[in-house]
Amino acid sequence: MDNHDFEDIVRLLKAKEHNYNSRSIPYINGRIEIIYINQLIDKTGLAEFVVRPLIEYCSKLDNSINAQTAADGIIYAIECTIETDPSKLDDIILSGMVVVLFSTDSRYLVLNLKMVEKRAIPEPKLTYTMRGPQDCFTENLDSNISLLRYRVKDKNLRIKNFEVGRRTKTRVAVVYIEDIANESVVSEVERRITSIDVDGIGESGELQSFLLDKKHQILPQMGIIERSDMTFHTLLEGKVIVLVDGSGLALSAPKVFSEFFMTCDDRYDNKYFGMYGRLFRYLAFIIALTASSIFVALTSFHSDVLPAKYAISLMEMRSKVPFTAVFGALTMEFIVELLRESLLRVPKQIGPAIGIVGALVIGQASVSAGIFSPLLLIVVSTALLASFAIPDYSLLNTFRILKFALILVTGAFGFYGFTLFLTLIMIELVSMNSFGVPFMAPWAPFNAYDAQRTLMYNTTMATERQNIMRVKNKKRLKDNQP
Amino acid sequence: MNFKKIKVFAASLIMLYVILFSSGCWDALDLNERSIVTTVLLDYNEDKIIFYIEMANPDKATTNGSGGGSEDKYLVVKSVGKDFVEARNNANEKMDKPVYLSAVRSIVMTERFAKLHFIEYLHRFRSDENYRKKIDTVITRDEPEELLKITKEKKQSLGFVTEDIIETLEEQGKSFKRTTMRLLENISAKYTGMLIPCMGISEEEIALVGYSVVNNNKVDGFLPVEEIEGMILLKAEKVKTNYRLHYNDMNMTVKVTQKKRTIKANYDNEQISMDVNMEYKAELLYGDKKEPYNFQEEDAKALGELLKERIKEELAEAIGRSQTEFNCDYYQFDDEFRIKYPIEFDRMDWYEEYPKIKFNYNIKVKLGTVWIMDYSNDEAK
Amino acid sequence: MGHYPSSVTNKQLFFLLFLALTTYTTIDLPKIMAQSAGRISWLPIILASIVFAIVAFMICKLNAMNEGKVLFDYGKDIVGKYFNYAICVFYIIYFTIIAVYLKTKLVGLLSANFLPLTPPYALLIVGIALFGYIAYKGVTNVARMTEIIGVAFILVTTVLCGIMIFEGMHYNVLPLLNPLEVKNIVPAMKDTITGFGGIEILFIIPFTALNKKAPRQTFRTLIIIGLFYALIVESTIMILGINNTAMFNDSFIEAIKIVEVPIIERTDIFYLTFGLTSLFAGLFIVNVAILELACKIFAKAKRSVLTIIMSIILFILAMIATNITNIQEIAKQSFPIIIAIASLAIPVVLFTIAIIKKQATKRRKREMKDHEF
Repeated sequence: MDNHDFEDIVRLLKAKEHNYNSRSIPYINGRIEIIYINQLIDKTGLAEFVVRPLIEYCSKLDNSINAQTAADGIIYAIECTIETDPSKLDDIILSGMVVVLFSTDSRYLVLNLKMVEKRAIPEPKLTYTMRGPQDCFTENLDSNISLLRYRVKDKNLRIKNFEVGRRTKTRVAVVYIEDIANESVVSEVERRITSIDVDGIGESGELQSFLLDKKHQILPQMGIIERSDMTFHTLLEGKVIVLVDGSGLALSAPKVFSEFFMTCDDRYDNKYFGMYGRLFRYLAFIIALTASSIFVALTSFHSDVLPAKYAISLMEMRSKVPFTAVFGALTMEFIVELLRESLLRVPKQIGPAIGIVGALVIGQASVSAGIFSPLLLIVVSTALLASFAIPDYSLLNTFRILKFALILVTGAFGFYGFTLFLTLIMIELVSMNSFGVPFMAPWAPFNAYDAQRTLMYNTTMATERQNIMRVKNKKRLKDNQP
Repeated sequence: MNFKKIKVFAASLIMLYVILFSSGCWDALDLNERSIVTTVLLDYNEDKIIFYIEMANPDKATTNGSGGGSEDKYLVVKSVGKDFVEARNNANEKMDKPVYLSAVRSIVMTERFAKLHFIEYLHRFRSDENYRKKIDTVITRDEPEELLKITKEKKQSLGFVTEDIIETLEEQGKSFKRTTMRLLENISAKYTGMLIPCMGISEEEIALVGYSVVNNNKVDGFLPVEEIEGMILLKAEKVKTNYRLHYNDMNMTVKVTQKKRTIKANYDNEQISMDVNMEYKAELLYGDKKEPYNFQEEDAKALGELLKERIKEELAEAIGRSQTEFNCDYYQFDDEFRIKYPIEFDRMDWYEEYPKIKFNYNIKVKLGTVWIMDYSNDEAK
Repeated sequence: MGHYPSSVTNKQLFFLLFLALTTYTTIDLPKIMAQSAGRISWLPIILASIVFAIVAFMICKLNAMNEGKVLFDYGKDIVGKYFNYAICVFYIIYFTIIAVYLKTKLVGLLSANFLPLTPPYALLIVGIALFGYIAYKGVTNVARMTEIIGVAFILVTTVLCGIMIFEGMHYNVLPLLNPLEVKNIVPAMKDTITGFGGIEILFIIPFTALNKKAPRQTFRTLIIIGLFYALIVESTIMILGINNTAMFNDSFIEAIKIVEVPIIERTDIFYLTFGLTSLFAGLFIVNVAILELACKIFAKAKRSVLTIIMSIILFILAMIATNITNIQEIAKQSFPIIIAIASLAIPVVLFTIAIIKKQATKRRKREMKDHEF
């Protein structure tokens, strides 16, 4: 670029509203301008490996310099590229790169000296495990990719980078193993990401809402992954992982209903314990969803299915309670949801107090005052405990809402309403697809091998990958394995 | 259809459902808003049908009796009418809550009621879907108010007590029970003859006092509990009974368990005969002499024969009584004959044929022990 | 995304057929058979299942000969455009009558046993809306539903029947072959027609390459359904007795109420949930049949619009039907004839014509080849 353009560009970049930082270094017949954002770069690295060698070189009176000579022999930067397009300068500087402009050269250097504030690898908060590794993803995409690379050292591991958000320019990485993953799933994920046109994405949850099949979908179609060991299991199953810069949770696709009940402990422990755990979680899920509704149905509509002694005992318990079973169930569930929400939001110091308030004041006092019957309290508490047994909270959130609707419908029509609503939930589940895979697979459509794997999993037994994923390479174990 | 019309349609549908669900709940009635009936006692007196409806009292003191337990655990409502409909209407007028019949444990009929209205009430029972059809129907020869007085003093429900007594005796092999559904099947069959447990008062307690005989849809007789040994051998499921036998100057108590019971019907030259085949296992319990008594094989055989004869006598007596005294096949031998000879059964009148049936008894008894109170013998265990 | 084809697998076909046939029959059949056949009920059921199995085999063969097509698509090649149209209109009307009847029965069952005070319109509004929505989702999704519901229903009912047999009295069902009752077999088979009506839903399911074994599978399915019916009837009679079974309207439910198991004691709660779900399954299968045929006939109309129209019509008709007092009698007289036409006569005729045409085409091709040489 000629001097006039160079000055214009520098003047524009140094304008106050940009808040860019700059460093000028003169040389024999020109000037070097180093433009960067203070908060996004390694200042020590900039001084040691860029500014100092440039000054040392330029101080010699007869040395001219251009982008090529600087890149080849002066600047000590691992990532150093030469660019020519001045219109990209703003984007490059905003992404945390250092730009080195030369007054006598139309080319400029882009150096990666990024250093943002980030947390250390934390312990899991959402998916706790007894036996598995405890390292989790953080908000920094590069740290997350380093964790992935540490776990999967496969030459076929592909990491494709995208940028989403016109203003935030959030980095998104799509990760998969090329010779396993279903091509149509990969291309569909990439297509959906590239078609997003929005000003900003901050978290993987926001991205997830763009990747759904239908916009108005209450059920989750993608999995969320917090721990790095879960990612390699997911990748080895032929799935696609989506990492978002700024989010500590990765997304996985496709995800089917039965996978929401799996934990890594099922794989690491004895296969029978794993099977027991999964069956137990299915049961817990059913209890969490239906316990209060069944209580309402049995108390208000179909008491004749209760044995006589239970019926008399239940009648005695409820004799002083002024509210109907429906109202009591709804109120109690609402209080439980209040407790749950407040425990999430409240500062740690007050957390235990909430527990005491919940247990003693609401539980004990309400029974003593005759507001609720003891059995209702037991039922709702059991449902609450059962809900905590479900490993993936994204599924649980859906059913927390549906639970209220189920109680209402049961309160209006008894078991008829209960069965109707469950049928409605079931049709939604079976008609949903997650990136082409039926959500209720392997149960509907049924696949014997996948169903057996869903119930009882062990690495020695899983000779092939799941049929429902339609992967390229199904073989997992070599033939002569025991 | 454009998006706006879809939204309007969806909104109106949601409104409709909200109205439906919030104004609905037509059948919602909490359990504590119902009167839970545990017993229905039926009587007939002075040309009137009397219902005694026993219900659980929701306002009673707690079950462990704290807080001054003078409140009755069960309440009784008495209603009167010249027929069932009137009596029931009278009962409804006295109830402060709708009646809940699914917890009824027993239907108790007085004998005078049963003699006149047994069949009609059972048909009424069948048509009422609120009753659970597994409950017991019993007859009583005592006054209903006497029965209710005893249960009130003991804070018990007559229905529960009746059910528990019959179940306990059945478990012990000392009685048998027939649900009301079974009675309904019997009265609808071509031939009707059955036994219904009879409850009453024995030494200030509610007890099983015998069995009422129902012959051709009429309550026709009574078998006191002291005379039902043979009947137990024929009808009870897990027969276990003790016999006191006299052998060689010693009185021995022997426990007898029925292992097998089959009844085979035969029809030859228009003569019906039944082979009653039974196998028993016997075990010596104790004697009335001081020294222990060691049986030889001949003694064991002799005692087995004694037992066999005793059992045969009881069976013959029980069956003979049904043929001669009551003229009623309340042991349901007709089922055995019907299964094997359906065409012949259809042609004949079982009421006429039953008294003529010849019974052959084939009883086997195996004495498992040779020492009194012999716990080491595996067979006896 | 499309790597899962829109089709019904053979397993799904089994459950679809199972639930379509058994929907209300499990509750109704014991009474009907006790009245018409007595203790020999199992025999006419098995014989009828063989007859219907053969016809179902024929329908599957027709579908397999025309992969990817349903009756509306391939029927015109067999009987010509106008007759094909008439047959499809007949089936729409037939399925509508069946749907209305089933809804009336459902309302009757609910009013008699579970919700006596709830007005029929309320029961129908919620039910019909759901069944219409499910029908809108299409055959593939309905088939997946039946896979889940069917397993649960068969398991629960079989276990309950097993308990009933265990607790029941063998006297009630013996003798199994009473010479006096043999003369009732053929008239009783006529009464079983209603229980096996429903095989014609196979006409709305397009077969793919996955369904090559469907004809044999369907034959076996009908035999299994026959055995299932026999199990239900015999276990009900074992508990209630032949006379009680003939008296009670919902004898299977009455029999379940008598059965008690340790710990939970009452077992009818299982039937309340799983049995009701299977009733719904039968209803939404019929609804999907109506909708699929309507979508074929009114190809230009939107599926959502047709669903709404279908639901409204069914609601109105069901409301009218619930107010007809002798609907049971009308159904008893007319249904065997209608179902015999829809499930037996039409499939047999179509199959026969199709086979004859196929043979004729083969012969013509052979003659043309010979002529060339």
